[in-house]
Amino acid sequence: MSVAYEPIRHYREALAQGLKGSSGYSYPWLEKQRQVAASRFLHQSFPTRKDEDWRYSGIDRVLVHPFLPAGENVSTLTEEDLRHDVLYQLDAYHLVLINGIPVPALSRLDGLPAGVHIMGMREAMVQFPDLLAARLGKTGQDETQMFMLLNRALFDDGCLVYIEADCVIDKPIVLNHLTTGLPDNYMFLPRNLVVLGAGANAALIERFGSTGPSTCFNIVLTEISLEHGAVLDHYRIQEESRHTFHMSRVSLQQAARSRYEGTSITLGSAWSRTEFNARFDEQDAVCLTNGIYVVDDGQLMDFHVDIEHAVPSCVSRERFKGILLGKGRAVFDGHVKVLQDAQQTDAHLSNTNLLLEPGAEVDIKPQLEIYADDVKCSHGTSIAQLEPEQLFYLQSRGLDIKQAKQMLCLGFVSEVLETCKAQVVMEYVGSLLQREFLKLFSDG
Amino acid sequence: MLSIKGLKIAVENKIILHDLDLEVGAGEVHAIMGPNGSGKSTLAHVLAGRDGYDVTEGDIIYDGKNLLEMNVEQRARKGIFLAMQYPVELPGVSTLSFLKASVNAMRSSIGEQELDAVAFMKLIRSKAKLVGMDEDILKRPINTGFSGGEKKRNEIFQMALLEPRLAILDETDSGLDIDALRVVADGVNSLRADDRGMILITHYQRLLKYIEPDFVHVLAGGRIVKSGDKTLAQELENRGYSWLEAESAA
Repeated sequence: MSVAYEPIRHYREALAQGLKGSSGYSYPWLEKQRQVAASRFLHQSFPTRKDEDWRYSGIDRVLVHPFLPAGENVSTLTEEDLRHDVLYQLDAYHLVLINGIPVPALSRLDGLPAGVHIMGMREAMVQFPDLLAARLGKTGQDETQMFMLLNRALFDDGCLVYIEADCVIDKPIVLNHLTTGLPDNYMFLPRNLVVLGAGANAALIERFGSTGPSTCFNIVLTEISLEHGAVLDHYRIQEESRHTFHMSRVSLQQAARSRYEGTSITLGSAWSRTEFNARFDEQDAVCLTNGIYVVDDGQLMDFHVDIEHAVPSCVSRERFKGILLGKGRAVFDGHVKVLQDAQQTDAHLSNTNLLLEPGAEVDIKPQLEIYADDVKCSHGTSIAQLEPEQLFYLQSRGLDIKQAKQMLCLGFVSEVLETCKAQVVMEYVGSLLQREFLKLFSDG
Repeated sequence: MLSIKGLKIAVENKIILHDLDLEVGAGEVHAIMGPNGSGKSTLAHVLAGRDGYDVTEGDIIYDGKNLLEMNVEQRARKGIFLAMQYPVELPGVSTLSFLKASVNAMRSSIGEQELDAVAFMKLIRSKAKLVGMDEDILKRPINTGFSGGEKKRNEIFQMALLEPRLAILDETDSGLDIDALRVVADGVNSLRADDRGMILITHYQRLLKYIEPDFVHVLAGGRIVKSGDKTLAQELENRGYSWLEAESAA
C-alpha cells in the first residue's frame, strides 16, 4: 500500500539520510552546527500562509516536489559548452560550481594576487580550518528558517572567497552557480563564505543559471563579513530556468567604515525567494542594496530585506524595481530596524513596480521599526502601469508596441542598472534585460 | 497628399469635429488657427492615430490610402510626423537608443538597411547642427528635465532626422520665448520642401511671421469656418476670433 506524500515527512527523511553521508571533512564545531540545525529542522514544521513572513510566498508550490540532496557531481559540462556564456568569457577570476559543487576543470583561478583566496568549501576546510571555525555560521540571527536549516545541516560544498587585509583584487570574481545534467527533483545546498579583511576591496559576481530543463531546487546560503574599511561590490544575477526553484540567503555583517554595494538581478526560476539580511556591528558603515526583478506569467519572486542598525552613524539604502507580466507575482518585504543606540542612522527603503498586465500582482510590505530618536529614515513604494502617452510618443516615431514597451521597461530599471559600478556587469545585465524583454513582449 | 472629407470626431460621445474638409498637397504649408477648444489638437491627434477618438463619419486619405486603417507606427513609417504640443518625458529612456530605433524602424519599413553606429552618429550630428541643437541633450533621457524650449526643439530635431512626408506641428510655438521661437521657425523653414506637406497648428499669429503659410484655415466650434491665404492670419491678429465665431453661428 502506498503512503500519501507528505512534505514534512519526506524532508525529515531526506535530512536523516543526508546526515549519514560522509562529507569527507569533519570538525567538532561543524558537527555541532549541523546537529543544532538538524535538530531544529526535525522539531519544526514548514511555514504556512499563516506565517506573516511567508504569507504571499506560495511555498506549497515548492513542497509538492520531493526534492532530495544530490550526491557527487555527474556533470559532463565542458568549457566548450560554456563558450557562448558571455559572463564566463569575462576577464575575471572564475569559480564554476555545477549543482553546488566546484568544478576545477571549468574554473579559472590562475594568477590570483597574493592574499586573495578563492576555492571550493571542501578545500577551504583543509586550507583555512581556523578561519572557517571563526566565521562560518556566525553572521545573522539564530537560524529558524527551514530551508536554511537544511543547508546548515547538510551542506557539503560551496565556496570561500577570502581577501586578506589591505588586498585589492585586479579583476572581478565570478562565482558561476550552474545547475545541469541531473534528472528531476534534486536539491543543491551550496554554502558560501566571503570574508574581506580590513581595507580589502573586491567586486564579486554571483551568478545562478541552468543549462537544462530539469526541475531542481537551489538552496544557497552566502555569508559575508566585511572588516574595518573593507569595500565589496556584490552583484547577484539569477537567471535560472523556469523549472528551477531557488531559495537564497545573503547574510551580511559589517565592521566600522566598511562599505557594501549590492545589486540583485532576478529573472529566472518558477519560484524564488531571496533573503538579504544585514547587520551593522560598528559605526560609519554603509550598505546599499539595489535590485531589479522581472516576473513573468507563472513565476513568483519573493524578496525579503532585513537591515538592522544596532550602532550609530550607519547608512542603509534599498532600492528595488520590479516589472511584472501575465499573472506573475512578486513579494517585496523590506524591514529596517533601528535600535535605541543607533542614533544618526540614515536609512531609506524604496520599491517601485510596473504592472504590465491586469493579472499581475505584487505584495509590498515596507516596515520601519525605529527605537532611536535622532535618525533619518524613510520609505516609499509604488505600483504603476505603462503610460499610454509614453507608448504613443514612441509609436508615433515608428517603434512598434513591443519595441516601445521594451524601451520603457529598460528606462524604468535604468536607475538601478546605472548604479552597477563594474561596466562589464552593467553591459551584461543590460543586454540580458533587453533580451528578456524582447522575449517576453514577442508573444504579444 | 492628404485629403480629409466630412470628418466627424467624437470623444466620449461628445462631438469635437464636425464635417471637416481639408486638402493638403505636397510642398504646401497649411496653418490651422483657432481659439482654445476649437478642436485643433484633436485633429492633430487623429491624424497621428492616437487612441481615444471616435471617427464617426468621413474619410482621411493619405497618399491614396485610407489613413484610418493604419495604426500609429504604420502612419509614422509612412511619413506622418506629429511634433507634439506637450512632448512627454520618458525618464531613463536613452535618447540615442530611441532615435536609433526610430530611424531604423523607418528604414526597415521601406526596405533600407539599418544604420550602423557610425553612420547613425554622423546623421545625428548633421541634423543637430541643422536645427541648432545642443548635442549634450542627446545624452539625457528623452525630454526628461528639458525646458519647454528644449522639448520643442527636440521635436523639430526629430522631424529633421526622420524627414517626414507630412509634418504636423501642434502648437509648437506655445510656451516659447521669442529667441526659441525663431530657432524653431528656422528649423521648420529649413525643412520646407517640394515633396513635404506641413500643417501648423497654432493659436497665435506670431509663429506665422517666421513661417509663412500658403494657406490659413480657421477652426472654430469643430468646423473650418474660414480659409484664405496668409493675409487671413493678419486679419485674425487685428480682429481676434470672435467675429468668425459669430459669423459661423449666424
